[in-house]
Amino acid sequence: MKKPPPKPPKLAESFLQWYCRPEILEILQGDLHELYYRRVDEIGLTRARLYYFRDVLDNCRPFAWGATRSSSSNPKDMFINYLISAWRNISKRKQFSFINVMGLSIGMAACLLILQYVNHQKSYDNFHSDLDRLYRLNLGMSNTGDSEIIYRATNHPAAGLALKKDYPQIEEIARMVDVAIFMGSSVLSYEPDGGTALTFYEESMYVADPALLSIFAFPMLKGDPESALNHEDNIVITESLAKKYFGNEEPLGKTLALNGQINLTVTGILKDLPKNTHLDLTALFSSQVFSDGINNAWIWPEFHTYVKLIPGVDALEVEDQLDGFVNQYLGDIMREFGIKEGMNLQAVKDIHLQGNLLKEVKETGNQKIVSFLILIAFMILLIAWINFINLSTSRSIERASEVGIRKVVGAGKGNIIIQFLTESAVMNGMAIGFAFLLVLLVSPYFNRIAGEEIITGTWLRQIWAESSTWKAVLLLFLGGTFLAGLYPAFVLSSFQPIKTIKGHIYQAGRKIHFRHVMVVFQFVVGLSMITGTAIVFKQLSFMRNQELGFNMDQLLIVKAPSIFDSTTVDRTRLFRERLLQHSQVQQVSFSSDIPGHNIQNINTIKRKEESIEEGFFATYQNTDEYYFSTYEIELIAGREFSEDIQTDTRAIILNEKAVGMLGFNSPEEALGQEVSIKLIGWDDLKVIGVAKNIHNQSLAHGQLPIVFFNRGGFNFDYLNIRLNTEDLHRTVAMVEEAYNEIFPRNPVEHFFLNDYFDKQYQADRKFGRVFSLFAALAILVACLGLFGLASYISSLRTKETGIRKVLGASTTQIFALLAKQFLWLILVATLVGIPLIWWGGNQWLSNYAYRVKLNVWVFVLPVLSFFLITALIVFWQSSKAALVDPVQSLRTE
Amino acid sequence: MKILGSFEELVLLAVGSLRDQAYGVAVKDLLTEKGGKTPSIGALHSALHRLEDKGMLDSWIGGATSERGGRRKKYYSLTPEGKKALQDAHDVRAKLSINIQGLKLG
Repeated sequence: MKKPPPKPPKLAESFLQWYCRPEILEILQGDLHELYYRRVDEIGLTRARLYYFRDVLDNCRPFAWGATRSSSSNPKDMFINYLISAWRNISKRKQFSFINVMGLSIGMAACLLILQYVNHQKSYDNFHSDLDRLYRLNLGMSNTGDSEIIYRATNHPAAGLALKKDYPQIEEIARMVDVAIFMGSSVLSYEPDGGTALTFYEESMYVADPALLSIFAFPMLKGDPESALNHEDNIVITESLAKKYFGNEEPLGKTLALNGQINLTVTGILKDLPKNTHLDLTALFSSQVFSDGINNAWIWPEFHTYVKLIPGVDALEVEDQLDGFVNQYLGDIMREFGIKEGMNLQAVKDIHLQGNLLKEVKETGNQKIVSFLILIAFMILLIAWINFINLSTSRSIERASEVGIRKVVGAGKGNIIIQFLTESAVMNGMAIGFAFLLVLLVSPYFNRIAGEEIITGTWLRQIWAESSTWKAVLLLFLGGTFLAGLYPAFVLSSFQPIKTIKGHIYQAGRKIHFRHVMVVFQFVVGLSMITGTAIVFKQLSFMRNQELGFNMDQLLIVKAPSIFDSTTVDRTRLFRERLLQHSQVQQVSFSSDIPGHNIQNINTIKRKEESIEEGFFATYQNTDEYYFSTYEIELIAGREFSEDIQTDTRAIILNEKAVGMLGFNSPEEALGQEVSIKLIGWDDLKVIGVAKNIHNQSLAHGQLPIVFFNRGGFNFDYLNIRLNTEDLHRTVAMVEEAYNEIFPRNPVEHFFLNDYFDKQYQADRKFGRVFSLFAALAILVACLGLFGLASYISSLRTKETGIRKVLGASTTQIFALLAKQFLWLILVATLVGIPLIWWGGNQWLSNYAYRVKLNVWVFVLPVLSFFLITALIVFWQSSKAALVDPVQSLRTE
Repeated sequence: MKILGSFEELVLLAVGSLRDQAYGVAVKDLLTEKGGKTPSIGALHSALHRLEDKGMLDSWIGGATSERGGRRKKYYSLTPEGKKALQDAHDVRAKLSINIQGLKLG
């Protein structure tokens, strides 16, 4: 017998079955099969199959479509019905809906806040034209022996010029150097005709190449960007600086004096820089003041160097050639000083989040924190979605008969799913609305703790104006609707009508539900966030309460005079004597640096007899004879500098760390030995004393080797005044008065060292506050969910508790029974959470050189409070069931 | 008078001439053979349904046979209205063609 030919293609068959209405399927399929089998004989199997596909597609016309669907239920009417029944269900169970919508909207609000924060962080420097061609030439340095290369945002003065000369791929370069570094100090003064002089310390003033104005193209309100910096006495200032000195007068052409010596003519007014750039400028001086010596120098890496590439040039290609470039120009210097240098190009748009090098213009952001916040936002949203899923599925009994009836009346599974998704969409829509309100409500607080204007008045408009943000909002809505709505929709739609109407549908049972897993997850996240916050604040207080090795209390710092002349050295002596006449002043000293200030001077030191390769980087600072007694730093060997000993200008005091790194076995052994600081050409510095280690930076950093020296003359930037007084206010006024008298024309600027030192922890504090805000939100949402679940479950067990009570159970036993399952979940969550938190906490702490030890106690309070909150919520909710008269609960049906 | 599309007219003619053997594939075969063109099966089914909706065709479901995997056939026949529509269409052509020399329409 002839083998029957293969059947028509399956895919086409199922497509046909899918679109074709059942009444005509048989007829249509019959005709198509008849044609198919005939064609198999006539033209072969392959072509017959192809024709079959074509015929199926060809028949996919309105006459064949599922008429039952469109005729018996009008989709538009059904949709309206879904909306109505969604609304009825929402308004019928107000508590449930409130918890759901509130939870969702808090989660969404957290996301929106973080989204805005992240957008703000990413907006840094993205407004420059030709952004993709702008790079910064960074310089890395290390000792030959050291493997770690320390990168800095600044480069040698000659580097940019040489790069432009040698590489045709470079369109333009611009350098800028901090005036305070270039000129030693930065005081501007303006003497109006017949008025009193205005004199201020100014920060963020730079000597810059004229090309800087064209590379970054910051808008200029007055003056010509092409020529504004062409002469060495030109100065371009910002709008607000102009206002400060000239009020409403025309600023162009006015004369400003730098440090009381150099007169400059204002040739341009820059619009104030926006906050979201890594740059911070108040005034630009012309680089015409650079001598040839500076322009050819390969030894003063203080110049921010920006590079604009020719269009179409790949930065990596240029970067590949930088090793050769460095060797060509710096080879000799590297060999002579035993250091290694390297350069890289960093895209300007990446500086804010990925920079954080030495000598950044201003504090940069932190990519890690941004990613961490995104994770947290997602976690909070997840908690809210889990609430939604849990509450919706736990209410399935109530909804089961509704589903049953709908199915009996003719709804398919798909209809039920669409119905529940509609309900989910309505709730998510309401939640989005509330989320916007919430964001606006908390925005002042959020801006304050973030320290920046992140949510502005036009925030709502901004969201719709930008496609990335409104898409995110849409995603929140759709994600909530589908991710949180789909599971309950599937669970509810799969009920079998007969069973649900008869009432067997769901038994609480003892088996582990998906719901329990989700509750455990919520608890773990909540617990991690509370404990995480606790760890952050613990570490902060740990750092702030450590012994620093010097006394910060009542230590007043005054900036040293910047306008000086031949009499300044004598005046400083006079100032010191004048202050010491007051009993409130204990000691006064001068120094080139203060603790808490970014490390300014790093240099290679070594023992005199060692080779250069054995040197290492140390910081050094100039101090006078009274420095150690003013700071109350303990000397463990040798002596302080002395005015009476002439040779002390070639003497140094080391700290323990430096002594150890130089290879001395004891502080005493170091005394009398000779040390050299090669880079500044000091070869035979005699060690006369060893000081205890001090933390001159935040405790996030390790202690550094420090060299103190005393070169005489006046090379100091700070006056350190140790006070001992009840009345700080009057003492400070006294100091100011003395300063003004002795250093006339110099503005007086002062602060207390403990405030200044504490600023280093600002970023950590900010992080702690932001973290605790979101931790609070996460816990709030989790508690809302717990509340809803507990209330629902206890209401389910009303009858059971009634019977138990009738049979003699006490109220306490009932509570225990109801609370047990939740407490059990917390226990599991604690066991899962602790190792996680332990690991995460230690990860975070590893960023700090000095850190708290995590111990069990970190967890005790959060876990206990979690237990307590849960117990309270469950207690509150179950009291309804436990306290009610059994007669009542049993009578109701 | 109902207007017939030219393909509908052909389908009606084919159904009529097949008498009680007019089901989908048969109509298609006849049109291929006599009508000089091969209609697509989708277009044919669609036309059959449309003509039935207009009342020009009647239909009945045949008995199950061993052919086509036991699937039944749907047979069509002309209704009086269908016949009238064919007649009308023919008359219009005749009237219009009368003055065309060398053209003879029955």
